[in-house]
Amino acid sequence: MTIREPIPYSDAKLRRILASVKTIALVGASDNWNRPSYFVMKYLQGKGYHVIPVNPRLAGQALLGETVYGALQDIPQPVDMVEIFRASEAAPGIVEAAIAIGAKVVWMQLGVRHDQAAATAEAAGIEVVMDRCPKIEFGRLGGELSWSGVNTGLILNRAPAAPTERHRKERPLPPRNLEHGFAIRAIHSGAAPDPTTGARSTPIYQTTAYVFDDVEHAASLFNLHNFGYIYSRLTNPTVSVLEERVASLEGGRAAVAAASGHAAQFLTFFTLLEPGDEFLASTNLYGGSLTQFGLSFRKLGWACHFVDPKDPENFRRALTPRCKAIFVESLANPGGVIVDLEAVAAIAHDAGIPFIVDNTLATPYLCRPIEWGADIVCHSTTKFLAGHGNSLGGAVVESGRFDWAASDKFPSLSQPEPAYHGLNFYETFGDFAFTTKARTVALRDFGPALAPMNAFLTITGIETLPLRMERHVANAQAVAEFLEGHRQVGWVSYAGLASSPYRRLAEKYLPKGAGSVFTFGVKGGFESGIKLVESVRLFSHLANVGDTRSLILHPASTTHRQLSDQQRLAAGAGPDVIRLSVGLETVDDLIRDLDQALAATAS
Amino acid sequence: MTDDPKGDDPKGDDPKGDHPEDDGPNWRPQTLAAQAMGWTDETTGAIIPPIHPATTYLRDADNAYRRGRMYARADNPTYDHASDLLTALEEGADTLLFASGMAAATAVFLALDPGDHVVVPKVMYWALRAWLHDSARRWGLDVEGVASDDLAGLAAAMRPGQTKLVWLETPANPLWTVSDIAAAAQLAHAAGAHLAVDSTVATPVFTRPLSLGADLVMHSATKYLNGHSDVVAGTLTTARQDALWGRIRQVLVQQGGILGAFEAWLLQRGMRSLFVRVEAAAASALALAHRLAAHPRVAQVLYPGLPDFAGHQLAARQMRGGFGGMLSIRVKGGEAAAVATAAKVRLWKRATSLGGVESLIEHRASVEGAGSPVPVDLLRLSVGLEALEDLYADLDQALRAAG
Repeated sequence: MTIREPIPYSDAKLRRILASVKTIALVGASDNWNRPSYFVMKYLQGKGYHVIPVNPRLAGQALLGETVYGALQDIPQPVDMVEIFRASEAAPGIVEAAIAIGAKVVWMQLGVRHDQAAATAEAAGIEVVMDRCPKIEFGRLGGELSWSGVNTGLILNRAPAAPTERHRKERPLPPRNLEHGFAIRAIHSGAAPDPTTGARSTPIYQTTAYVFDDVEHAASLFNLHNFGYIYSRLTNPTVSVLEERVASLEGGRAAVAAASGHAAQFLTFFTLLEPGDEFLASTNLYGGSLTQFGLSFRKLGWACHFVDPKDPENFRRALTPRCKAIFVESLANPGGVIVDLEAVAAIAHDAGIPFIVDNTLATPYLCRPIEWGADIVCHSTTKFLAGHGNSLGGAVVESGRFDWAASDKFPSLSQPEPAYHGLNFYETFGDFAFTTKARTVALRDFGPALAPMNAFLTITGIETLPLRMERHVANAQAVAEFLEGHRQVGWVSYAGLASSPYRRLAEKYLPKGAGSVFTFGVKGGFESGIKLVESVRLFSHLANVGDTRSLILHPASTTHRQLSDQQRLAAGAGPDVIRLSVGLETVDDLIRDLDQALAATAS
Repeated sequence: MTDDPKGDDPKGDDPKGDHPEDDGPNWRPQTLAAQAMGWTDETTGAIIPPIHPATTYLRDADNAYRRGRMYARADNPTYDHASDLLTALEEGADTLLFASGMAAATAVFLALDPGDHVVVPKVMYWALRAWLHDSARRWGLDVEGVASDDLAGLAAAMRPGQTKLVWLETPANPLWTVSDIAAAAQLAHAAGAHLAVDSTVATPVFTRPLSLGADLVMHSATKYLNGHSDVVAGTLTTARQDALWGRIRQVLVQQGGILGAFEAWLLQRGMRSLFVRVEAAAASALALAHRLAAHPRVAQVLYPGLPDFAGHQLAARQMRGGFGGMLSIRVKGGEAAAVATAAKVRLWKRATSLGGVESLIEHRASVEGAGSPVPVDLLRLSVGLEALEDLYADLDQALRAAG
């Protein structure tokens, strides 16, 4: 499967086609229950379509209750739509046959595209869709795809309706899909009114399990033939709202949520790596990530090589044949270091490996790494996304643009996966294969699922993300400027300051502001650092960032204390370093508090 | 939305999901409680009802509200699970959830008119008694207190045509006075009054006041119904949809003493284990009552399950299968000894409230203050789910240490 920009068919067109066709001839139907064409046939049958399988090898046999025909011309009844589940080169011949039997629509499966055959069909009055899966599009338009955390692009003020539901009043859709602004998506993405009650706010589905309609339904869910809920370790209706929302804000294809930011990182690497694999990570990471990557992951057989990100070429130099990914923080914690995302993405792609960006401190409001080439974005949603210091959580977003089959580096995605009865995830789920595997294998087998209540608190927090981030960066800028002029302060590392070496990168990647977490050096070193955090009256001394409240930390004595002196210095957590997370309070009060605490360090 | 498209009306015939009693056998109360009426979510298949924090509901394009809900002050789908279950357990017609037991109890009186005569017990939950004798009187209700276990006195208090409500609490806090619901219902109805029963202590496990003739049953759901000391809530269940019930609903919606969605969800969660909790607490209470009655430092044990308790025979007839988890003891040595005993316990928690999984001890007279009928040497015991031997041993050492 090669990655191309998808053809921008409007939702109106796809909905009209799916609502008007009744009989579908599926050319290339497989009798293997683990093949994508089988998934599609079974799913469409369940939605009420009459699907007629076409496959010369199986002609005359029965498949899912239908007789298989050897060719389209052999089908004795009218056919509304021909679905092409064959290699692109086969499309012209099938289109000729579709014209001959009077089909109204030709639909080419995800990965199948033949512009010349499409032109032939359209000249004959046939409507054409290429490089799309009817199962995925049906599920997307009807709201089912949201259950898997996929960014459907839909913004709804009523419950979603399947394309076949005709009981509702016709509502004309725009001829081209609309782009929705960030604040619209922050409030609406993933969350439609509850179909059962009309409740406008997302219900908290505090449930562990979901009833199966019957044994057949249960089997189809476990086999992933149908979208649906099984067990809250895998999917939960409240959690899936959060997943779709984060995917939408990052401009990604799909997301999977996890119990914490660390769990999100674990899901990411477990989905990518085999024992013995390696990856590169920036030295400027949250201290907990340094420990997770450098020590705990090593026990799983994964080696992380840490690279100074200040020169992007350092990553190229550190690559090894078994390197499977490059990981950076867009805005690093705690040093305020900004990585040149576009340059590192190019190095990763030259090496045929995905570029992973932790976007926790920047948030998609300030920076969207996928726009600069990131393939996967990780979040600790505990921070600015939830924003109120009241719920842990994590999320992994995939761009949908990485070609997992371009090399043999990612066999568990591009080849039959033994951990899911030999399913080929990339072939079956295409541009949301990564998160689907992260969910159905890593989340299933290791279990760091997000609690529905935390998902609810996080989606409520995200609704005000744009407003909060505006204030966070304005307050941080003012506090940083105050500190830079204070005689007890040795240095301030905030990319929003004119003096910052990262000012140029900040203007490129963080034009709305350089975040609200940064560090400065207090004169007097380790002892002054401890004196300062013990003297503040408004700032809370604790190990978190991204709260409405302003927070202060002395990393050397807390988050980074388990590291060596050398690692601490490399991570920007030297003895004099103070980390601030500037909150939403009145900024004059924050400055006054720091002023009196700094005075205490001098006495 | 699902593999089985359901026709035009998204609500179907049954807006609250699949209820097993609709088409299945007549499930027993324990079964209904454990499964919270067997509800499942039609949208997702979820086996536990979701918490609906939504304050408002969609209306259709023509301004109709076909889904039946408009604004969460009047109703919330999360309420349905707790209220439907309680309606079934109490064998009533409808249930309303309130922000507290006091919100539920006062709603009944506020649904009456100024000048109406109401008959209330002398021994009852003290906060409601205080409200009745102060606020309700100032509002214009003619409140008359009687000894509710004295049927002749109750009959004499009735003023046909003028008496609109008789209120009972049985067993009544904290002397556990037992009142005859069936007899009181006859007296009330003969006078044209409704009978309301505070059944907080009895719970539907042991008493079904509506089936004995009462018109309304009230619970402080904070106590046994929720059972985990983590929700403040109240309920009213009616025997029938009548004019008084309509006014009570109006009081709830217009004065706004509604339950939060999260609390309603916790309440249905707690009620799933109602029977095992209440039966276990009552078994321990009965055993403790017998053993404490023989304790050298205890002057008297008040518990409807003891054969020499004044209301025992009535309780044995009216309560089915047990006498509840509440008892009181009167400590030899008077108030000082009682207070000292409460000070010496290590396992029992000194706290107000009752009906939780943890055992509580309280010196009621000092809480209730002037005008209380409670003896100063009385300690109220709410028996929880701890090991009986631990509960007794702790009381025993406290009584001895205080003596």
